[in-house]
Amino acid sequence: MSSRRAHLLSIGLLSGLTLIAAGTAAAQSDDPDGLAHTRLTLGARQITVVYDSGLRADDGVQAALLAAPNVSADIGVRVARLEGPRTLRVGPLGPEPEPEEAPASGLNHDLWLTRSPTGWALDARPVEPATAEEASKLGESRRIPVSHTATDVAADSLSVRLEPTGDDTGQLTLRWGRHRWATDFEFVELPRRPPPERTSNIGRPSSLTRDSDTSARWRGARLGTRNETAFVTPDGASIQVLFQKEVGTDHRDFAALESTADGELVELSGGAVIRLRSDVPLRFGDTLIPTDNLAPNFPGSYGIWLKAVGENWRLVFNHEADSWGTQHDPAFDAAEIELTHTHGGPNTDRPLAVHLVPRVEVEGAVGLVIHWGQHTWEADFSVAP
Amino acid sequence: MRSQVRIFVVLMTLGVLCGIAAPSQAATEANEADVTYYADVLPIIQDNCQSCHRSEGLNLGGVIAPMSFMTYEETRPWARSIARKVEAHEMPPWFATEPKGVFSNERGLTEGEISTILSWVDAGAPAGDKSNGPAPRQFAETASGGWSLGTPDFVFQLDEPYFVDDDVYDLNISFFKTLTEAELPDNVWIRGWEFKTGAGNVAHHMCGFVRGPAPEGGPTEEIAAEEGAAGAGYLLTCIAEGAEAVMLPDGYGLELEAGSTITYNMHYHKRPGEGSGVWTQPEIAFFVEERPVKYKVINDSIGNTGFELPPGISDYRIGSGRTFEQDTYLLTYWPHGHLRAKAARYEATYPDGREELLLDVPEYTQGWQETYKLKEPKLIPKGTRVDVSIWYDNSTERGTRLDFSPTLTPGHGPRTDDEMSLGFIGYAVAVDAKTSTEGEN
Repeated sequence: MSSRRAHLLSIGLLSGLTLIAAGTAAAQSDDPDGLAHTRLTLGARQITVVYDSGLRADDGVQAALLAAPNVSADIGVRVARLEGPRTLRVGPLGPEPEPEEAPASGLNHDLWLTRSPTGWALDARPVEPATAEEASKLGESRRIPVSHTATDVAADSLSVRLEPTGDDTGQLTLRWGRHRWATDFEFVELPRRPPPERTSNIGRPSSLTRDSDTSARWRGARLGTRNETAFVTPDGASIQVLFQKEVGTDHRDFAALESTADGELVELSGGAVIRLRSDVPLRFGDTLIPTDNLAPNFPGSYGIWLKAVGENWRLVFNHEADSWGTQHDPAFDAAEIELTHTHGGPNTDRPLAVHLVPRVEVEGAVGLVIHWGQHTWEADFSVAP
Repeated sequence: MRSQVRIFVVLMTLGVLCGIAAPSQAATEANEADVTYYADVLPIIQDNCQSCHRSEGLNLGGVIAPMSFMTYEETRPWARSIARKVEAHEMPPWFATEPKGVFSNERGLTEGEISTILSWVDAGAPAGDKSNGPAPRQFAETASGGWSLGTPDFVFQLDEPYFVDDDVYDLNISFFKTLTEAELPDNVWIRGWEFKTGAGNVAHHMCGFVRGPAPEGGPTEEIAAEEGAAGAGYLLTCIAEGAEAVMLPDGYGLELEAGSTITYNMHYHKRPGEGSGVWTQPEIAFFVEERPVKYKVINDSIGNTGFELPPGISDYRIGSGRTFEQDTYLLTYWPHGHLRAKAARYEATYPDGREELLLDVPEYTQGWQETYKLKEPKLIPKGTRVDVSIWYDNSTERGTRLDFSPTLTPGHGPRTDDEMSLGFIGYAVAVDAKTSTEGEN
């Protein structure tokens, strides 16, 4: 087990503030670190939760925490790390809804799943430093209220999902044992800093050579117009879905969706096609979605299209990963799978969004979930061996 | 982007050295003995070649035309190369195969004109009697300070020159000029504008933006993105190799408010080295519309900035689109990609489902970026969608030819080695109409 995994396995009695393990924060990268990373980017603002997807519900103290009918004092298990920009608000963390000042820094907190005599919560502590001396200087933990639901199906291992619920909002959900905990988060508009007075009529130059690494610029441009949901497996394989931001239920495309004819695909005139990119081959039922479909040793890259078939829906994978949402060319279709479709729920005006959900029922399974208004389409996949 | 230009030059030079112009069937049918430079060829060259092929060319310091065809003595050495280029329909350059006859700046020779040139070359490129030739062509800029559209009403030049250093390879930089009351006391409608990079042959592009005066009580010196386009106001236009000055049709205008700030967004690209630095001082000339303006002009781009171009792939489409929310008059198209871009297409889908090909450029080259200007503004009704497709070749073969790395997976970026997928479009709406549209950019 890596030291980073051990870092997240620390457990303590919060009332006594006993830290059993200490370590360094995992870097935000896709280098294999033995931990699962789930990410959601809305409006170029990214929230990341890093956790140990191998953390079993029936092991030792975790089992006691999860199974005890009640507790007499606070007890907690460190389960994840939360990272986000200064705009991110989660419970009491981050800026106020309409802040007068921007926070000095973003969030980088360990999350402790905590059970108290009054119920469940997530206690957030700034990521701990390496030494006990530094640890003594830690700020107090902040308690994030969570909703708790008992589930019929037991999740043997911990899983976390980040689900977009609006242009700026989402929900963080943890599943473990026969429990589900959820809390909302939001990206807040920060007050604009007064622009510096310009003393020259010459702007900031950007001088590059042909060897300059401009990949961060490429990503910045990408996330300027798209939202992204991503899941990084413990061995560092990334699965990402890009989807156009701010395509709401008041958009003409949503009206067109409601009248999609049998055999037709849902078009997105206001955005590019939903884009799937995977470092690893994926298997949806019997259908393999391979990597290298566009170039050797290159991640699998597909445009994915919703297709109405009678009363049902299917998902079409197309090799044109960067076409516009009106430019489906069937000559480039790669595969087609069944989707589960539901319609209903309280959130009637949810914009088009995609997220990835670890499935607790089947080990290694992940759900690809597309939302739009009250529509939800889902298909499960696993990493193909 | 320079490499494309160089390739043009090299090909033309090779054509001369190799003497590869073979007589065509059409040429052999012509009476070669009767064809001379002054009587037959010069009129064709005046009408189709000299606007670029002169010692002081129109665009970007003449970089697009490496040799002059103003006299017989200048033209004769290039005769066989000219024959080869016109027979192959490579010169005069025009890259759109469809539609034909709708663009005001469409170039091309008739088969008769091509036949005349081939016959002249096959006959040994004789001069003939000079008195049989037309009078020398007069260019507007001769009498207007170098501006091709005539004498402008005002010119805004960057206050101070800027030196592009010797060690610069690829530099994006913006310059700003806030118009004083003395320079522009009142709001005006603009009907034409023309750029000069003032940078010799190291300017890859020059984009001009205008940002209106700050609202009362608001910041006066805010530029959201000082190095690029975003936040810098509305686009006047961009020029690169092959781009030309803009003169709008009657009744059309672009609003320039008093107190506006003009952004000169410059992209310089050159081989670094001692002595390669150049001084630059960009200028923009404006031509004022005094007559009533019915249609407000907007220059914008339909773009896709979220792409990732796979390595080694030779045929990959990146698409973008926009739905126009009001009756709109289309004026210009300018597809824009970098070294890997190889073809482009604009298509309209009307509210009734009818589709129309607006522009097809099957062989795009960054070395000659044409702005396709419609002769007549084209009305597209409210609800019409315009889709833009640009195809890319990131293959080893093209990378070797155009000097880029095909192992990269470029995304949207300003550097020549990055890529872009932008369908610039000029359009107009009635002055009292809203101007909102939707799309990624």
